[in-house]
Formats: sequence, structure tokens, C-alpha cells
Amino acid sequence: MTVETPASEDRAFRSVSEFLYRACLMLDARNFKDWLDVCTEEFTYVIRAFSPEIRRDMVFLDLDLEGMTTLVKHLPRHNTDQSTFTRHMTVYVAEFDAAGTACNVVSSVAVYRTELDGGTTHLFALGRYHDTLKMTSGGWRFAAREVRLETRNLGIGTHYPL
Amino acid sequence: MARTPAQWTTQPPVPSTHYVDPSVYTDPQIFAEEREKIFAKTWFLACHESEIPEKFDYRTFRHPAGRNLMIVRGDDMQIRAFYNVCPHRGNTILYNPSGNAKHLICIFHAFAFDSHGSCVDIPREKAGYQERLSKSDFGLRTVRCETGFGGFVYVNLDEASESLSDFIGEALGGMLKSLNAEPLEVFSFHRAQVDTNFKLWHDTNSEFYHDYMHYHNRQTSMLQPGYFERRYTPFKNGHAEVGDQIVNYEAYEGFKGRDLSFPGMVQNQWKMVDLFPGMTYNLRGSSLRIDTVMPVSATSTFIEYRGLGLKSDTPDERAQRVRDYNSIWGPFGRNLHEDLLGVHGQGKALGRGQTFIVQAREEDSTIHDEIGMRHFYAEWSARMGKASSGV
Repeated sequence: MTVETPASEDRAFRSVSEFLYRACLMLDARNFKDWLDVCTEEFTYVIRAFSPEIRRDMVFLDLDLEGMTTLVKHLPRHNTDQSTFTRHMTVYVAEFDAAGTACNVVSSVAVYRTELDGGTTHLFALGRYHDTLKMTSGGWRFAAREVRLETRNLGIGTHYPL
Repeated sequence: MARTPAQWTTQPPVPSTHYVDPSVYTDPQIFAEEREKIFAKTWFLACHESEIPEKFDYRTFRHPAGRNLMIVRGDDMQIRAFYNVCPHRGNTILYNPSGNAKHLICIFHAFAFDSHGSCVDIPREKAGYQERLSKSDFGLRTVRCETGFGGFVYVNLDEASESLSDFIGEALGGMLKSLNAEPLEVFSFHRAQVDTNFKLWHDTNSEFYHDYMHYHNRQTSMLQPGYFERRYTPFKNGHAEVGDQIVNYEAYEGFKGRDLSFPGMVQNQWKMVDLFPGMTYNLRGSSLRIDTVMPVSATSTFIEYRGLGLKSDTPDERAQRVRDYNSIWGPFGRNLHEDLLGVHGQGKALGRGQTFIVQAREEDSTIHDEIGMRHFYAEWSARMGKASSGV
């Protein structure tokens, strides 16, 4: 099937995708300062998962920009597993508003955990990013990120955002 | 001074009740005995009544003794437990962890069972079994089941054991007012698999000396008034209560005091009870956390975590309880990851030729006394017919 799309839509999709992939690299590098800098003042971050066991939608983390900033600030004060996280992300769909200055994006994401000792990698979590982006004078910015996890057995868990 | 190999494996110079042989955490034979002598003989928390609120609701449960069970709410609203095994050719009947089914039907040959465990249909019954066998020969295997102590569904594989209330005794007495004032509801459930022994998780829940590991707890509890006055109270059957404290959540930057509480609790109060052989009621004012261990081998364990609020919560109240719970206890919470990292580290370190695990702190049964663990292992030793010290 061939889908004809205007060139401007392709450019917009590429622009959003590049922004999200660059943000992914920031998270992989645990460069949270730069990552928070591409979030708007009204930014919200939520990690959700549906539990087939209790047949409910669950919220594992629910923070605003201030809460995320504080979480990141406290990270060095906690005892935390220092295995690295590497994200494999694919942008699936991006829906723009009429003006092209806001969009909702759905991406798939697989997060791999690599142990420092020996470098063994295993899958930590599978899910999707549901992002709300806004165009600002500095480019695209996160207004909201919802991580919808399929994986609920997260082993020893983590202090880091996904 | 570092110790020689011989010194490393020498018994500590304290009574044998104050240390544990490391093989207790790694030996497959000991684990096999634990399944039969402990898990198959004691009451164990399977789920909460709010997980099966309607008639014909069901919930599966992997019992730590190694049996797969199903918890079913009948057409009479009674909760019953059965083996999740078809009595025909031993297939699993319920594959999904929860659901609703008027008839429980085995996918293999379509044997059907009602919510009381009776077999109600066998395809081509007379053609195959004539008069030799009938539906009455194919009922489900019942399992003792009682609901209580906050609406939790407990099961016991041992037909001859004491009642649930006798087993728990007075251990939850200090929390009952909060648990039973009004119906509770599970809002969060997750399972963590860790390569460690199940007792190491329960040990962590049974001592607070490890608060040095938790930045959050050091700030909000250890440095606050009343912390070192918290006392352990041991109860029969290996259960133990930890005395309460008023937590100062605002001492952790970015956190606020708990606006919500449970009935019978003052604001920011914290109570905790450990139940033998691997269950914990942890009530931090606005939310209740329940831990249950589900060991699969001597060195691999699933731990199930449930978060509960009041069934009467408004949406805003529920959202606040969920936030409070997850800020420390969810898979991305500040405390849970540290606790799991700790027992993960123990699982990596323990094994043949390791030193004894020392539980020798005595501080008049206050918060850093290790009496909670010693009390657990006294019960463990009695039930296993061998000393946990190996001596």
C-alpha cells in the first residue's frame, strides 16, 4: 500500500522524530539536565501499566516538572543499580494540530539493561511512549510524556525515569 | 583485621540463635523441605476480596508450596479455592490471572465445572464412561480458604491445620481497627522476580537496621523523634509487629506530608507487621502495602506487591494514595528498588563456603534490634526440625 503524504507532513514527521530520537539519546546518556531543558513548564511525566491480575490501569510514577527535577537531583543520594539503560525506539504515528505547532506522538520503546560487570544485556521493559509536544521558539518541547508499559515484572526496579 | 578462610567459616562467638547457616538460603534440599513442612502447612495470603468483587470472578494463585490454585467467588458470593488443575488429564483450567466465568471450562476436552467446584459437563460422558465414571468422580480439588484481616483471601493446603485466626493470633491486633473499619481495595499489583532466597526478602522486612541503605528513610524517619523508640513485639507462629512512628515526609525534599490516612491512624503514622513465613502488612498512613513471597527455587523468588486504599475513596483521594504509595514503594519508588538491590546482592554473594549470617544485634527489642529475624528463625527451626544455625 502506498500512502501519499504532502512533503510538508513528511518534513514535520521527520522533525518530530529527530527531536524524540535526540531526547532518547539524552536519556540513554543519563543527561537529565538537557532532557529536562526540552520540557515545558507544564510538563507531566507518567508511567502506567494495565494489570490483567487486578484488571485495573495502574500508575507507577506521576510527576510534574518540579517533581522530575527533584527526582533527578536526589539520584546521587540513593543506592541505585548503576547498570546502563539503552532505549530502542521507533516513532509510529504523529498527529499534528491544524497549525502544526502541537502534536501527539506514539512510539514503541524497548529498554535494555546492561550490567556494568561483564556487560550482560537483557530486556528491562517493553512499552510505548505517548508524547505531547509543543513547538516553541527553541523547537519542539515535551508538554507531556506517558510511558505505557507492557512489562510489569521489572525485577529489582529502578530509580531512573524510562 | 581480615579473616583467614578457617576464621571466615567459624561459628560466630554468640548463641546459635543469633546466626544462620548460609546454606539455609541456597540449598535445594532445604527449599524442598520448606515447601512441604512450612508452605504446605501454613495459611498464606492469595489475593484480596476486591480482586474478585462479582459473582463468578476468579483469580489464579501460584502457591509457594508449588501448587497452582484458583480463587473463585461463587454464585452465592462465597469465596472458594481449588487446584487449578482439570481432574481429567491434568491440564491447567484457568490460563488468565483473573476474569469472570459462570462455568470453568478446561480447554483440553471441555470438561466444565461450576463455581462450587462440581463437574457439570463432560462431553459424550455416557458414550465414553458408560456407568463406570460420572461427573461426580471429576469434582475439583478443594483447598481451605478464609477471608479476613482486611478482606484478604488466605488459603491453606493442610486440611488439619489450625484456623486462620488461630494462626495469625494477636499479631495484627494493632492494625485491625484500620484494616476492618471499612472495605479496602487493591489499586496496584506488581510482581518482581529476584535471584535470591525468599527468606532474605522477609529478613529485610523484619529488620530496620538496613534503614542506613535508604536515603528517604534516614531523612524522614531515622533522623526524626520516636524512631529509636520503635519496638518489636514477637507473636506466636513466628509473626512480629514493629512499633509505630510518625513519619516526617517533608524532611525529604519534594515530598509532602500524607494528607490522607486510614481509619484509626493519625496522620503520617506508620505501622508494620510481618507474618510467617513470608507476608508483610505495611501501613504508611495513606496506603497499605502487602508483600507476599512466591519462591520458585532456593535462589529465585517472585515477590508480589499490592497497594490498597479505601474502597470509598473519591477519585482525587485514590490518586493521592496512589502517588503516596508509588513515591516509595512502586517499581520506580525511592525505597523498593534499594531493598530489592540489597537482596539481589545477597543472592549473588551467598553460596557454598560463605560465612554465617549474623543476627546478633540486641537493643532491648527496639528498632535496630534483630529480634524480628531471630523470632522468624526460631519458628523456622521448630517447623523444619533442624536449627537454622546448622548447629
